[in-house]
Amino acid sequence: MPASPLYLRVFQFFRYGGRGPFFVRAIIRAIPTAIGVIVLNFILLQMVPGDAVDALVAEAGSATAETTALLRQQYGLDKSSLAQFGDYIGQLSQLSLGDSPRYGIPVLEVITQRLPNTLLLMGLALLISLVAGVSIGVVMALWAGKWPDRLLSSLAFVLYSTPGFWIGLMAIVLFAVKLEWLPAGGDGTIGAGLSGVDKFVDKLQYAILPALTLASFFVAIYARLTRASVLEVLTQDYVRTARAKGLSPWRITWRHVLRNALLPLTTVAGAHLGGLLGGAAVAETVFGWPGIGRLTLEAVQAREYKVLLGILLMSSFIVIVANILVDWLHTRLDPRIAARIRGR
Amino acid sequence: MNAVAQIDNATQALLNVADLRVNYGAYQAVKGVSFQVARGETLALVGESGCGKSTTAMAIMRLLGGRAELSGTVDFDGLDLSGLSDPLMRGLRGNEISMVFQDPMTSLNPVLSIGEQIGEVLRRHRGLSRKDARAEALVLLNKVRIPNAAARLDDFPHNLSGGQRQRVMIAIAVACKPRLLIADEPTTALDVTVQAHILQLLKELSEEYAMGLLLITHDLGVVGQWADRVAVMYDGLIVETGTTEAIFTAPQHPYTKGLLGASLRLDSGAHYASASLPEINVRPGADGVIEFDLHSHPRYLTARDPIADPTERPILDVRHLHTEYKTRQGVVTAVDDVSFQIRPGETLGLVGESGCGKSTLSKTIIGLIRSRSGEILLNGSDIAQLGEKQLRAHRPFVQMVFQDPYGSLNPKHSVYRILDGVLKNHGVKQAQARSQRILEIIQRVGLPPSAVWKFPHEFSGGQRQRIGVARALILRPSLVILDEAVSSLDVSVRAQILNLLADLKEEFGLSYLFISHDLSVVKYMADRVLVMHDGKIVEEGAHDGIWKNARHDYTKKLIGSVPVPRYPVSDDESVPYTDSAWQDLPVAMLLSRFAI
Amino acid sequence: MSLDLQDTFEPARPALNGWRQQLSASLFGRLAPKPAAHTDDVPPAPIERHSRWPVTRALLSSPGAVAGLMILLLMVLIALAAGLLYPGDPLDMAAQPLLPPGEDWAFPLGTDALGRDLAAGLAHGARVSLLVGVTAALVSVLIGTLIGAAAGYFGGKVDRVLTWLIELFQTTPSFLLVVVVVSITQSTIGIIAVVIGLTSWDTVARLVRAEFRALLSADFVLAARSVGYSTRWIIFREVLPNALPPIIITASVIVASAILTESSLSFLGVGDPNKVSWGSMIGTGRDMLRSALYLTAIPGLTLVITVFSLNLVGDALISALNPRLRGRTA
Repeated sequence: MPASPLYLRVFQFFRYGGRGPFFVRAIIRAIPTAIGVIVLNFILLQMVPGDAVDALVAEAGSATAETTALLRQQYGLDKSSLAQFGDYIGQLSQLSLGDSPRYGIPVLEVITQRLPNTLLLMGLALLISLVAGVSIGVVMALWAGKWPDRLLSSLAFVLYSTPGFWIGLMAIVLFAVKLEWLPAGGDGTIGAGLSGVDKFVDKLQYAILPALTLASFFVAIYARLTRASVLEVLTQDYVRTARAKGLSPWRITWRHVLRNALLPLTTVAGAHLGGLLGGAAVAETVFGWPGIGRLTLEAVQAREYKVLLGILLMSSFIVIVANILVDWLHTRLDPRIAARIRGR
Repeated sequence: MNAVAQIDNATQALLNVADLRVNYGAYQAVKGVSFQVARGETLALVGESGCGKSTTAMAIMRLLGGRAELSGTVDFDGLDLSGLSDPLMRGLRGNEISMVFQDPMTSLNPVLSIGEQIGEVLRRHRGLSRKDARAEALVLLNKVRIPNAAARLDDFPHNLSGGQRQRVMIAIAVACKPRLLIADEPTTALDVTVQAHILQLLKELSEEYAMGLLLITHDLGVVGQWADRVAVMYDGLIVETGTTEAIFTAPQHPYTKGLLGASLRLDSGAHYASASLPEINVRPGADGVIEFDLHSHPRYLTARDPIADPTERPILDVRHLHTEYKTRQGVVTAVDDVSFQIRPGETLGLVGESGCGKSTLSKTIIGLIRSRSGEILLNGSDIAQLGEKQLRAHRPFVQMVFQDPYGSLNPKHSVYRILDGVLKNHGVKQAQARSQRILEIIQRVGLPPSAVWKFPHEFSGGQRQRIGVARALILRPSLVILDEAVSSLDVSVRAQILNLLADLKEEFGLSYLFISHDLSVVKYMADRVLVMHDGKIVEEGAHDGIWKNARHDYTKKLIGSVPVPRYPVSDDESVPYTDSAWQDLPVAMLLSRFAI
Repeated sequence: MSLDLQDTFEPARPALNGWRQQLSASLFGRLAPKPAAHTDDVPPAPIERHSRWPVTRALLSSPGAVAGLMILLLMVLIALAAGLLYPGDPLDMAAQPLLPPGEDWAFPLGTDALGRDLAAGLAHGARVSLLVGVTAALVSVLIGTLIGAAAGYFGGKVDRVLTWLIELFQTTPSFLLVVVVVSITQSTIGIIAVVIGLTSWDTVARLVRAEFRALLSADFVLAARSVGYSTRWIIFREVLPNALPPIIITASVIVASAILTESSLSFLGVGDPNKVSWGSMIGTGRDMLRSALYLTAIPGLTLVITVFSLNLVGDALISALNPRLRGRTA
């Protein structure tokens, strides 16, 4: 039997990731997407009106044509697109996203300064939305058709029809202004001089409202998803088998229904990472939380394109990594997936 | 072992169902059903789809959903199940009464291991510890004859084949040595060779544990081979009960007679060339009572001369056909060097189990899949390597009827549109001409003219297959490929469609390639038979010779697995010929009907 | 059309991206072929009389859908009539600043800090929202359908490349991408609408690809091929009409999602500076959160009500379009 042509084998390699431990394969599979992200970012970079030299010239006031041309040559901005792409790749492989004229430090550093804050927010929001969403969804499914279900369904409906920023604003009005339970913005009590655990606890206080705002939308989504998933699983044959075994309803729900109904959730949660990042941008702005979301807005206003695109690149990579982790979780939870990937 | 409890001696019965009714709102699924099952006895509950037999079984176990309203009594060894509280009922399920379901592919929880799922029922009812339950599960797996049982304990359902999963289901069901085992179509979804083993296993276990076995099925062959007593169900009611022997040798009710007559058996001499299958006509009679009518008629078709006439060009000549497809594991050969011919006016039967390649073969012949090598000579021209455009010219010669009546018609198109499109596509330009042909063919397949404006979902399975046949015939092909065309149909509907196919073949002078996994059907319908296994044709023979004098091992194995009732078919099938003119025919022709 | 059998296997991939896109996918049943099992423990569906416009009937019979449609109709009317009701630029000062709602009946909803009429802003904002919503949905449906259909139909190399493209857009966070692209190019309504569409097409493409793959191996398509229909006929007459319902549902979801995205953009100040949008109204009113709550509450409520009605209609579409027209009763 003739061996398949080279291009086909290359395709197969990147599609299935070859052989080896899970993470190695997952990373190989992610490479084409990563390349795509880089190319996309480069294209967007090229689309930016003016370039670094124009920015410099603008800051300096004005310059002659010769000086501008010279500067371009110096920064390598007069080369062809392909060559510039090569430069870009070179720059990336040195783990650099360029320098930010405004902040004076490398772009990467600007981003990594703010990144942990956003990750904290996203993590909290994910946790809240999963726990709350799943519990509500299970309640809705078990009482399907009756008033608890109808009530919760309507609430969920309203929740995901509402934009996050508005929920945030109303939350500020309610919790910060009227009730004065929680702070209205910022990421820590200013001037309190706290450190270590105390500082973290203090920070959490400030994180609650933005996290809730970010989570609100996803709570509704997960609730509805869980409800639909549980209802579907309840019609499956293996649930009927479980009943025929005489198992208690509690055990059937726990071991047979939920273990299967929650599987789609892992897939979905992974796909929502991008949405969480976008939502974080809004939530951070509303609450003045210093993360990369707010950084994005600042960069837009200051026309800091390098920072903007750096953020885009970084967040895309974060999504890729998160998806790999979610895939791994999925293989642990569902024995069929691992077998399918292995091709058995 | 074959304890046959007197039907009126209800106190000895293990299970005594009296006047059971199940209603879903206004709809009556079960209309008052009564039967008994004695200890150690196998009662078969027979009926076609929709008759309520599964509902009855689920009602006994009280597994029906909240919308079902039950009435009547279900007496289990002195205990009235219908009034039992939920916790007590749960204590009985899996413990004293167990159930095995139809589809093994979906009846097991995909995320729990086999050992856990068997152990679960032991821990629930026997209070075993995790370790003990696991040990006991191993014992059970060996008992149901799963090879390599120790390794299987930690496997998941998707690692096992359909037959093995069904064995696991049986292991779960008998784990606590129940007194009554209900098996709802346990082998319908399995291949015939696996089917035989599973039924054998069930029977042995029921004897070993002295269980009563309520076997629900639509397959009379299974009933005849394995059951002690039979109850026949139709539309929510039991129309006849009796011992298996009595039912098979002296059926009383016309529906039973019709079912028996329409059920094809490997040991009967029935062949399409000599007689049609009995069709059951159901009519609502006076005061809501249903009346049954049977009719059938003999046919007088000369059997095809088994020796081929060398000057006659075959309609289809397949030479050394080879088809492959790619999977992740590599290349799989689906059709391996297959050669055969179909002569004009002949029905060639093709039997094989699932995965043998018969479907791929039929799709290759009709041009849906490209073969790797070999020739397909349709009326003398080789179509094997033709492109889509060139193939179009040949399409009117060979058409196909598909298996799934639900999937083979576009749900968005009305019947008229489906048929009209075919004609338009092949050059029938005038709307009136098309309309005429459509109405003609629709009526010819037994549907009323008003059917043309309806959509597929408005028809039953049998009616949809008729539409499929109409679509295949409207271009007036010479060869029709019937790919498991009757496999999804109920016995009585199947009889109608087979009769229709035989009549149409005669009328239009067609040739058929009749593909099925069901040997009995092929035995009835085919003039010559090919047996396919693993992509190859392993045996070929005339329609009666092959069943009696099978040479290849696989053929013998196949034939041996088909369930054959223990009781002979009665000569007097009590199916009255409704047209008395037949009685004037020469005796010789009448006698030819019983020739075996 | 490829006469080879396609790969029998595909590794599991995360399903979809974005907000309610995911929801709709889980809520409308998949085209997973269920075997015609002997399920006689369910009462058979009564044979329906062949009715014309079954979808419209189903829609109109659901009270939620009717309410949603009414509200949407109202919004469309307001949007269309905005020029007549409130001629002139809503960004112009109209009356004294910070007029509370209800005080002056010429300005029933009050004015903002710069004296601009809130009612005028709402009316013109309706235009913006609906325009962006519908345009974005159209763009993403068109692109997504084309790419998804091509991927599902051709399979092989084409499929691989297009799937890579879909995954690329799925990985990139869509809101951030919109912000970046809009700030690189211009911030006008048209561009915003198109860019939002360009970031939402991956959902549609994924869906269409899955539908095409399932449909192309369906028996009735095989039957159509065996009858000899041309490939174009099969795509447009056999496959597409069956693939349409989920596309329509996703389109309605995308409209709602696009409106929310646009409002977030204008709230953050990245939107079109020359147009009034509900989001921008909320953004400017934000500074007066404590003193003049109505500045954020009123446009916010309008936004919620509009998206809510869109979702109502979308939900009704899911139940109307799905089981009936698939014809898989019994």
